[in-house]
Amino acid sequence: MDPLVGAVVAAGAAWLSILAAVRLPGAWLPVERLRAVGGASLGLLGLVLLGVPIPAYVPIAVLAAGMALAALVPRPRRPTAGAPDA
Amino acid sequence: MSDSPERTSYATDRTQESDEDILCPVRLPAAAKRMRASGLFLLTLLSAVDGTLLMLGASGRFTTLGGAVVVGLTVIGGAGTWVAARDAFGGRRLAPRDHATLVALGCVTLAATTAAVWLGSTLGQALTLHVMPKAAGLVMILVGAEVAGIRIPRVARAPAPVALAAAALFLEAYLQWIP
Repeated sequence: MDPLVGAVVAAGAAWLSILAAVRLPGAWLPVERLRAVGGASLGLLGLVLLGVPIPAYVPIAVLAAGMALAALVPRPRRPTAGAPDA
Repeated sequence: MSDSPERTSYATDRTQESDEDILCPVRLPAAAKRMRASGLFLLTLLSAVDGTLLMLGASGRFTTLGGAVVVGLTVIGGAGTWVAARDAFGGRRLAPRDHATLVALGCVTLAATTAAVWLGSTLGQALTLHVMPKAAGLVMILVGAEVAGIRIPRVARAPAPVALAAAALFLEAYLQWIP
């Protein structure tokens, strides 16, 4: 594939994902979880670029799985300060 | 029901206030809206400006469909961009101006990405690159660490990924042109 076509595909995929993020209804994911997932996927992409034998789909798979986990796993409740002991 | 003027006017004011609260969407100050949208533009175009897309183009990462999609969703887009988009436009009805902003974002992203990839792929085809393909991987790892919240010290007031990309470009140019 011509790199310029690839650039159009990449820009289009990014823009569509931004539109999806804007239009998603309901509560959004916790920012700290989203940052961790995004950082992990970028780090894996970096390892792919360095030549580490990781399948090319792994960064996307980690991003998708991480976001799904972040959405499904409830945030741990912090104990309220000054709560009376039982 | 009392028909005194004071009570009537008070009831009318209360009704008008509640109707306005119900009918009118949340109004952000115009300056705050612009700041949030500009943050989204900054995050989306950052990879084209700091040399990341150039290095990825030189490494041939846009020659496959899967590679292009991966770069689009993790480098150009990604978690930070989605949070910024949600912050700028989420939770409210989009006005025509918001739609125009999103269309402009798409056009600018397409232009910046295409230019960076064209430059990078031209360099990659014209030269035998020694440093940039590996440096692109290190830059991605550093960017991922910063996105995840790990504090990376700045190099000469520049973010570490930008400094590394600049050093890689300089070293590549030096290796290409030394006699």
